[in-house]
Amino acid sequence: MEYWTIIDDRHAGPYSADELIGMCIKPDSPVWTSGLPDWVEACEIEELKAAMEARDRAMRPATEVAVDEEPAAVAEEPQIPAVEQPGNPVEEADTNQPMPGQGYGYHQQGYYPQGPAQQAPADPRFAPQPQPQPVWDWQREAMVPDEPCPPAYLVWSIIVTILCCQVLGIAAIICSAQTKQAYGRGNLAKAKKMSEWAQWLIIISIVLGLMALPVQLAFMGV
Amino acid sequence: MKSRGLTKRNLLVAAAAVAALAVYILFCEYSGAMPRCPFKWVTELDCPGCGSQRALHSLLHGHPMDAWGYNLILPPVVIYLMALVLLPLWGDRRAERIHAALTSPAAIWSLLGVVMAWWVLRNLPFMAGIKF
Repeated sequence: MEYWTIIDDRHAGPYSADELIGMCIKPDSPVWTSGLPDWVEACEIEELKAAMEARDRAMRPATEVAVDEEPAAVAEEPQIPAVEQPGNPVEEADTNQPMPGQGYGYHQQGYYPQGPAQQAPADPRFAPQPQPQPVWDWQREAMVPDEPCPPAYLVWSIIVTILCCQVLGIAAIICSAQTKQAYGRGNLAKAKKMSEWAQWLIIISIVLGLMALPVQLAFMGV
Repeated sequence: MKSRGLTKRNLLVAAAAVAALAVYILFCEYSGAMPRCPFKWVTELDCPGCGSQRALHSLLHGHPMDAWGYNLILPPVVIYLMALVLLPLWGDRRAERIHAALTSPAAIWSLLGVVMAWWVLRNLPFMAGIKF
């Protein structure tokens, strides 16, 4: 029999009964196995209940203190990487997450950089089998901008600088380059900001140029 | 996707035509109708764009060599600008690639480098006597 449990609010499994016992599950830990409509407490499954009783019997003769300290030991136990099961039927019943292949945003492992390296448990028995890990849309958006590049206003920057003789246009060209560069590096927020800067610099240059005209005419007229 | 009437593109084309006409008729060395460069006005130094209006005027009148003389970087910049504006209208995969290369950060930074170098160079004393 293979069981799933919940560690740190995430589904973890499949584990054999022995592995679950080794992970210090408690009688009220949530457990699911195929055929069950919903999560149940570990003590409701005969195989696990028997195994847990056997474990408690084995520990009691050692010391009474060990039993009292058991909850602390559970808390300090190294995190066992929780691997989401792409095909896990629990998700259908239990969560609102979209199923792979259905709806939006399912990406295979290796397509995008993964998060921090998973901490391997000390006991090789608990090492999870390598499984494709889904990357959801919200993660992907943070890494690779899907939106098109915000306008860099390069043409206007050049027109303002070279054809209209506005020195501020050089700053606009710099902002154009920064827009493209930030977008190329996946920094969409900075790209948008630089795009806005370029736009404002161009507008200010044009307004300044127009304002200077009557002043110049007045001086030349004298 | 055919655009008719007051689309952004048509407006831009019309504005460009009016600007070209204005440059063609008005801007020349003697008319005095040209807006003057504020930077030159204040510092009496040339900015990277000084002479561009006279140079455009010469270009439109069919004297490219005179244009070089007014502003060395204006003719290449005009070609670059035309490429930027016209390539997306091509709607071709290769045109898209060229456009992407022309607007890459490296391309823009080098353009900036050329403009800054030209700005410094044209204000050096020995440049005053050199005509292109």
